[in-house]
Order: sequence, then C-alpha cells, then structure tokens
Amino acid sequence: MSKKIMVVDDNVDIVETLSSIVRAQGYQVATADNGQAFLADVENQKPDLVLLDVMMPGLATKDILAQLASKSVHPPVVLVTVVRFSQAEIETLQQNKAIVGYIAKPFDLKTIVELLQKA
Amino acid sequence: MNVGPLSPGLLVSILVLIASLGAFGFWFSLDASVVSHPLFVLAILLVIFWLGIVWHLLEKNRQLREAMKKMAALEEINQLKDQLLTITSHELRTPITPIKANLQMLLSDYFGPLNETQKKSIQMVLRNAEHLDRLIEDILDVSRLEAGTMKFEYQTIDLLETIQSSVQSIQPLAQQKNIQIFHEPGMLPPLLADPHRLSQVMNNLLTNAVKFSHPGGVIRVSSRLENHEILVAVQDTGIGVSAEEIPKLFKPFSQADTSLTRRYEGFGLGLAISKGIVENHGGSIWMQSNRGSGAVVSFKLPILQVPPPLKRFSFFDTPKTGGHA
Repeated sequence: MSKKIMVVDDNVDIVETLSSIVRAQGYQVATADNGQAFLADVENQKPDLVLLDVMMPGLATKDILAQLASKSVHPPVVLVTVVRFSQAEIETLQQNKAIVGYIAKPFDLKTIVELLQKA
Repeated sequence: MNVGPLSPGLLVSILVLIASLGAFGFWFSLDASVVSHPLFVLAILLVIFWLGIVWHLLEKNRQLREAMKKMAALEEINQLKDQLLTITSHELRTPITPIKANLQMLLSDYFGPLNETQKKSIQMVLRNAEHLDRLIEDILDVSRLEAGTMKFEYQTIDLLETIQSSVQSIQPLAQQKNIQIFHEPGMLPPLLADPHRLSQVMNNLLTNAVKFSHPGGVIRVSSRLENHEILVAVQDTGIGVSAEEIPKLFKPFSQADTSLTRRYEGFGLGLAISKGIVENHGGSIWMQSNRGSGAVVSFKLPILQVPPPLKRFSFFDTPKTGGHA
C-alpha cells in the first residue's frame, strides 16, 4: 500500500497543487484547511508525512505541534512557509522531534518531488 | 514603556530646598532683625541658586519623560512595520506559489504532453512569475533594511567560493549576450560574514554588469586583500553612467536614466540592497564610471572578529554614498 501524505494549508489552490504533485508521485493524499481540522483527523488518517503550512488562521503552528505530540500518531512534519527562518530559528525548530524539514514558498516542483521521494 | 518617577537626584534637591526654607523660616521667627544679617542674605541667595538647580532638574526630568515616550512610540511603529512586512510577505508570496508550481507541472507533462508553442508560452509565463517573485523579495529586502529587521547569519566563510558560485550562476545569462566573465581571484583570508547575503550582493552586481553590457562585452571580477580589508570589484564594459548620476543609483527604485527602466527591466533595487548588506557587514560600496565607458562597482569588507551591530537605513532621507572612490 502506498504511503499517505497529509497536506495542511488554508489556501485552497496550494492544497490542490500539492495534492496533484503527491498523487502524481503515486502517494495517497489527505487534506485539511486549518490546524484544528488537521488535529481532528490526523489519528484517523495516520499519514506517513505531513506538509504543514505556517501562519494559518486559528491555531498557531507551535500549538498545533504541541497538540500533535499528545496524539496516538506521530508523523514527521515538514513546515511549508513564506517566512524565511534564521539559523537560530531552524535550530529551535529542530528541537521539536516531529519537524523533519521546511520548504519555502513559493516552492519549486523539483523540491517537493525530491522531498516525497525521501518520505 | 514605563516612564519612571522623579530621579533620586531631583528628589534630594527638592528635600534640601524644603528643609532650607523651613530652617530659614524658623530663624526669622526667632529674630525678625536677622533679615539684615549678611549671612541671612547669603543664605537667601543660596536658596535662590538651589531653586534654579531644582528647576533645571525638573526640566531635564520632563525632557527625559518626553524622549522616553517618543522612543516607546517609535518602538511601537517599528513593531507595526515588522508585522506589516510579515503580512505583506505572506500575502504576496502565497498566490505566486500555486502559479509557479502549476506552470512547472504543465512543463513537466503532469497534465499531458504540450506542443512546442504551448511549452514556449508556459515558459514565458513562468519566467515572468519568477521575475515577480524576485521583485517582491527585493522590495521586502528594502523594507527590512529600512526597518532594521533584515536577518544576518554570520559564519566564517571563504568569500572566493561565494564569488565563484555567483559567477557560475550568472554564466547562462552572460552567454545569451555573448559576454565573457573573467574572475581574477586573490588570496583571501577567512571572513566572518553572511554567505547568503554576500551572494545576493555578488548576484546583484553581476546581473547589473550583464544587463548594462553590450553584447560581446567583457566583465572582470577581482578580489584581493588590501589594508586588512577584502576588496571586491566588478568591472564591465557597458553603457556606464555619469558621475552626477552615481549617488542616486544607491537609492531604491532609481536607475540613472528613467528611460533605462523600460529598456532594461528592473526596479533599480539591486545597488540599494547591496549597499544595505555591505554596510551592515561594516563595509562600504561605491561606483566609478563615465557615461559610455563602462562601470566598476567595488565593495570592501573589514575582517571582523564579532558580527557588527544591526544598522537601520533611511534610503530616502540620506543623500550620501556613491562618491566614495
């Protein structure tokens, strides 16, 4: 059975774009358009990887990650962000074991494909 | 920000003044003729002098409170600017994300094969989307430099590697115009700097050199150690600018001749951003040129032991820079 990637972003077009790329690479896809919907569905979906947008309305990213830690599933998370992190911020993020990387928006197709191939 | 109470010095002065007035009042109540005593007159003069000191300290205290209030207001404006930058960055970059990715998917035949005309058309749209993305980043960088919020990641680097990498990345653009780039590397010591930001400076200088060079031209990049500073120069054989036009090139949104803005695409932000980055590294940047005979843009960087403090820019107020050479 193919791996499942969960795409979490409040922008419908970005969700659709990432979903198309994920499917084209032969993976299953699940989506959520905000942090709460993601947390409500993550145990049910049991994703192998989460592409999580930073700066969604509602729950802050750190709160989403904190609540994810208390769930029964602990998928690796890649942050997808327009914010350019500093080295210090990356080091702080790396302290959270769930985070395995981050991708800057606007991303290249190649970056997402390479990431999925490593998943 | 809290504005503090009266300073201890001022409180002591007021207490001394009250105590003195009380003592003289008591002395006068004991003997009314004391007013003609020279010591009493001297004491009154001293009280007047003390009153002056108290008045002066009160005025200083008022000025200090006002300055602190202004600083608090400025701090608040700066925080708002920072928030605005983050929001602007998010709102401008978000729509470009699906545009770029979908165009790349189309070109990679995700939605079926395209014919050559369709591919060319999509490539053109993608090129423009990427150009727009770079412009947004440049505008945000100018704003970050003005707000003093640009992030610098200092580490010990080999600047030659940074220069080589920039030269390599500009080669395809140079080849389109049959322009040759020669790099004459000197021996450089390790440098404490932000490699990403210095790459940005080199890319800006090289892009300008290619953009304003005639087809078949030559660009020379040199780097050397001079008086404990690293000196890098990018020389082109392009259209050049007059000496009077040089200072305004280091301000945002200005190409020397406004008609050039249309002939040579770009907002004219590269040199302004480069100046901000170089000066934040404790260095300086300048240009030597004459109209019609090419230009040399040089920058020098000190060999630092610790990162310099972050500098804020006011590109639109300060008339300096440019005539350094």
